[in-house]
Amino acid sequence: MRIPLAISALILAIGASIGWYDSQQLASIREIRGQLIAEAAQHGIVPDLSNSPGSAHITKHDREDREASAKRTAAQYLAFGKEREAFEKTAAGHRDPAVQKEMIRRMAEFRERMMAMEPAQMAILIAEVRSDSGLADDTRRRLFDVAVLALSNNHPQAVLELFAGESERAKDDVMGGGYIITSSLARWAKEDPLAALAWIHKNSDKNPDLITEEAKRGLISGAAMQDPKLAFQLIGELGLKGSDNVIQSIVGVARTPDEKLATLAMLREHLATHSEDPARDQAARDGLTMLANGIVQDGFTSACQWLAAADLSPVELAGVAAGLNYDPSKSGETGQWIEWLGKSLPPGAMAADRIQYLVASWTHNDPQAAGQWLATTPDGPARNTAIRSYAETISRFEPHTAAQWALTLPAGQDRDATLKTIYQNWPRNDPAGAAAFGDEHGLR
Amino acid sequence: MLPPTVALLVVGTWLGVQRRSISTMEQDCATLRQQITNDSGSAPLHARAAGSDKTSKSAASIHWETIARQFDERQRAGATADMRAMLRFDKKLQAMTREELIAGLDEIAALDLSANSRSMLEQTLIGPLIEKDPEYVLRHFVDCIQDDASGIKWHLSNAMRDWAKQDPAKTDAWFDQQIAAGKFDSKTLDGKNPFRMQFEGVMIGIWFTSDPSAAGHRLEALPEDQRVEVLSGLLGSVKQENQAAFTQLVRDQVPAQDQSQILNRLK
Repeated sequence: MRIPLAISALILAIGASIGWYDSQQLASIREIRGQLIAEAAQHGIVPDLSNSPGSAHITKHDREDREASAKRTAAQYLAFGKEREAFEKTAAGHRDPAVQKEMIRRMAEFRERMMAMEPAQMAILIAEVRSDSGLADDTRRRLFDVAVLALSNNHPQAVLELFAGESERAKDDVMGGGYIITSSLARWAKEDPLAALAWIHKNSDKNPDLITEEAKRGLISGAAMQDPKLAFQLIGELGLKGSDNVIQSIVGVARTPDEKLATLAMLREHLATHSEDPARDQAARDGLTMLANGIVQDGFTSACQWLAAADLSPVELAGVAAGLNYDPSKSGETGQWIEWLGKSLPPGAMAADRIQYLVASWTHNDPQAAGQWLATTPDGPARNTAIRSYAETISRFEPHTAAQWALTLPAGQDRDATLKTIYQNWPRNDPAGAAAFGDEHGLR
Repeated sequence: MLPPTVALLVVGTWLGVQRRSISTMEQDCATLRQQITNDSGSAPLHARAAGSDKTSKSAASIHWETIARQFDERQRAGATADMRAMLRFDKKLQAMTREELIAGLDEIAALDLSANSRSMLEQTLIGPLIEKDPEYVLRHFVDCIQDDASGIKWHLSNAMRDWAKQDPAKTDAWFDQQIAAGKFDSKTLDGKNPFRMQFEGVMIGIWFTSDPSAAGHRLEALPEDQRVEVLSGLLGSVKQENQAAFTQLVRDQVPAQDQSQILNRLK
């Protein structure tokens, strides 16, 4: 009996010594792991240990560590919220800019930390924020917003589940709820549009207050980043035909001229499914207006190449025209765009409206350049529209010059209307000049 | 022989669990190291190798063309842009020295970028540089005011404010020199230069409490309609204790018929 006991004791002794050595090693590795997680967080990395073969074996100790860490962060975050609340009670003009800057820096630090946390940890933090009674409602809601937005950066599904699970309470807690839902759906759809779509289908009836038209547009805009064709298909699937801005949210994703041409082809394919003419035309105009914004940025020459390749219909051309905005940094091209409008659009209200707008903006910003362009532009309907706009714009400041330009217009209704506007705009400090002008043109 | 068998089983199980935990931890550490290494090696904020790009000369070693592409992608991504990347870049910018920021702006100026990308990059750097050396920013970039494509000009009044707080007399004198040199001339129809109005607002906002006559001189040099505009722009920043001085300035410098439209809005 003594021998087996002795052997047992020996086995236990050897085991204990190996076990002690292993436990030292385990403690050391655990510390290194903690440091690496912290370092990863500083890099903005959410520790992704899912591919690690050992990741399935999260020990109780690990779980407790993570929970404790989440609670620590929550406590620090709430303490920061209290500090910020006290700071904001100081009158706006008396706040120390250095303290304000430090507050912004610390909030950014919290954001970064929260973005590195796992959904389960964020759930703990969010619950702590919600249950805190020491903060003013506004402060608590702001902290909640920031936390939820941080969570949505890497785990949009978790945010959507949070809201879907208790929408009433979540709605009470959040200030930017609409934006958070929309951006979370967009983020998710960017990675997995069909999964995001399935979530909408599953939750639409239960949470109609969350899954709004705006939220669905968010999904479509995210899907467009990955697959514009699918995004167009989703418009019908989500019942958004005719919805404001939905076309723009897809078209706006295209960047290069080739991408824009491809998107235009998809848009045309999508519009072929529309049965109603007014809605189809409106969607075509919306899409082309958005595309025009980017095209103009590329410069007049390359824009013209794109427009030639696009072979636009009159409705589409009207969309491009509506998207032409005056850009002071491309002031030198404004004259070319005005001429393009005159040549490309059929004469009528649309062409006149866009030409008047561009000339008026240009004249206000740089009357000399606009005047020089006008002086060298060949006669024609576009030039006459431009003259009207130029004369009316400068009439408040230089009425005599305005009158000279107006008199170059062919006699008729347009010239008379322009002269009348000049008279009405005549500077108040020159009543005699106004009276003489009125008498001369029979306007008094 | 039962006790040794039991002892072996107990020790074996215990050591097995421990070894498994060690192995799990080691694998986690390896994964984390790999993720950190990948991030450092391919992080777009850092040049991968010194000398791999002629433009990465600043101490901060930022590859600006990559940043420009990221900015463009961020614009495209809109609400889905990666907030972590933004925070990391902001942090890096805040940590840059004055010299690094200036070198960065020089590098950006030398790159073949679209006007939009250049403007976005410049605007990103100019804020931190203003915090470090507002005088340098104003002296170096005042010509941007006449450049329609520049993004820097939108930030210069902040530089003016910061510099004027440090040395109002020197800032005021510099401003007058630039006006005399035509840097704030206007080509618009109404003759206003919005940047001059902003700068005047900054200087007058600083002078009217410490040296009301200096504030008065600045206003006198402006047409009457612009005085109303500049003073109206200051309304939000007039502290309770300075309201009397502000009111006096309005009464001295604004035509009687226009005074009420400013003073009625004074809280």
